[in-house]
Amino acid sequence: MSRLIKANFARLFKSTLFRICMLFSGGLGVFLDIMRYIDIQKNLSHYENLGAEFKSADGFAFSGALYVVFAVAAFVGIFVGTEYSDGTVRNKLMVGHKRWEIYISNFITCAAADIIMLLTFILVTLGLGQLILGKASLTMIETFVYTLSQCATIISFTAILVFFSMLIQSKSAGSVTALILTVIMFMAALHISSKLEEPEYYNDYQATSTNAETGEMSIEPITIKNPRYISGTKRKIYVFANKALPFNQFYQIACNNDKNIGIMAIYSIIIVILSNGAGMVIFRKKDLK
Amino acid sequence: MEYVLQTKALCKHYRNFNALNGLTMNVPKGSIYGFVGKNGAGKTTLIRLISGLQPPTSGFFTLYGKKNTDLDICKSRRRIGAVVETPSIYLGMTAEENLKEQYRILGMPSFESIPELLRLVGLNGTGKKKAKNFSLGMRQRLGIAVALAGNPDFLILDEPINGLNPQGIIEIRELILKLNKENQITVLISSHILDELSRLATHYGFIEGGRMIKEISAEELENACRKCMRLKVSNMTAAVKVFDAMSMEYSIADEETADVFTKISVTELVEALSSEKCTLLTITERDESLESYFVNLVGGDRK
Repeated sequence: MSRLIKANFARLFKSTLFRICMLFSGGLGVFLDIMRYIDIQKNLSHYENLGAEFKSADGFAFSGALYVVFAVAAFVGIFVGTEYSDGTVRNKLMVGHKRWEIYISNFITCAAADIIMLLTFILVTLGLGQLILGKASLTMIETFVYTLSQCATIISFTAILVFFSMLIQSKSAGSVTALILTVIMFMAALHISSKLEEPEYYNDYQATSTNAETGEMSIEPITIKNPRYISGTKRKIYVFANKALPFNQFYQIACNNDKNIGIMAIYSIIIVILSNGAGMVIFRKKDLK
Repeated sequence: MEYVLQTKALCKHYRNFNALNGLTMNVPKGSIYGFVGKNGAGKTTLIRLISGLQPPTSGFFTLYGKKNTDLDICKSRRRIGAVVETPSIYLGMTAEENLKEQYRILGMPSFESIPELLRLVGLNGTGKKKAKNFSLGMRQRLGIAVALAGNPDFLILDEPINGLNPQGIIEIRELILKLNKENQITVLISSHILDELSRLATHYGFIEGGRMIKEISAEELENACRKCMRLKVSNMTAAVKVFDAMSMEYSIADEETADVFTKISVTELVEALSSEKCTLLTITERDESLESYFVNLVGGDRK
């Protein structure tokens, strides 16, 4: 398998697509830093009140992953799909490489490429942010833990993308599927997060009586059960999805919410094992053209 | 005879279609095996099975004596190179980069032999031109170069001259002959362009409806296709006596039909047959080509 990985990496570093994705990731970091700098200059007093994390780059360095994943999806779909469109997957099989080796080597290459893209974004954002926005508010350890957690999440997301791309024997169909899947997961993450953030009760006011003489209404504060609050099994499923799904993990880290980091890492490992395991079983039996 | 590839009752069924229906074939070592069949006869399916792209539904094949179900069939596959349908090349890479990529996949320690390989297939002057800008013939040759990267003993080419111009066809033909004669590579070529195949093949396999209907050597085929006079006579025993007496080269097709390969005077022959009380019923000139042989074998357009 080492030969396949070596060949894949050689192709990766020659790939124009990979360079474009790297430019996108780095460029996004520069763009966000500059936009934040301009915004701070315009609303200096507002930012003074918000706190140090909003003035420094580490406030948004981990939210950019939510955009980098679109580049990741396009990359995986096209990189893996090219093997089918150019027919080169046949070259690997015909010289005696096993199917599981081809599958895993593609996963390893894509995961490495995606981590490089993510790290490029984080490093550019933090590096330039340090220069133009000022000192980071997160400690080195916090930064390291968040970065590690996002890397784990992007690996699990890559496993899902590779699963679909390896099983759909078409570059265009595979790439479109990867992008649609990304959009669906992005929307699902927003939906799940907003649902879970709904309070169980909310405060309202109710008119209790009206003074007959003055006509004044007497209003009392009341607590009302929020109809949008989800409970029971449905809530358990939402909570589970919020910890397990890659986009929800990105969203939580983007919000600097580190309370689920441990369990999220475990779910990422489970997703990697399940996606790759199922992918290899199906790919092993698949008729290739 | 030593065989590189043997298949036995090989079947491949897709959902509603039987692509291979008990195919049995034998590819002798050192041969150029022409695999002949109509479109959809099952040629490409067989090649996909041999190359490991698809598993057979039933039956088996052996590659260098290793059965397809053996765990070490991969070792035998390392001895083959194949171009299935379209050349398997990265269109975004140059010819040299494509070969380097294949060398890495094969785990070859150095790229030293790449210029020689490019020269062999006539692509040594392509420089930084990417494969997507190559002509069809150049892509085909690059596909063959990729297939040759691991120094295979057995080369499988699926319709290698499809879509090529006359010059491209000649180049591919010369390359195949060179590889077979100089490098002793056994070649399996599937094609339905019979005229071209007849210039190359040393053995033929005719496939129809997923079955092998005839395997024949080029020599046997040549004999079968020789220019001759086909005679229909009333008494074959008497006719044979006459043929022998006149020292003619002939073959008996059935009880009343014989093919005579010697140039004859029809008058003399009719007189000689008459004297033996044998009537010459019909006489036709036959000059069968591979094409007409194939058509006769598979029954023209009959399905």
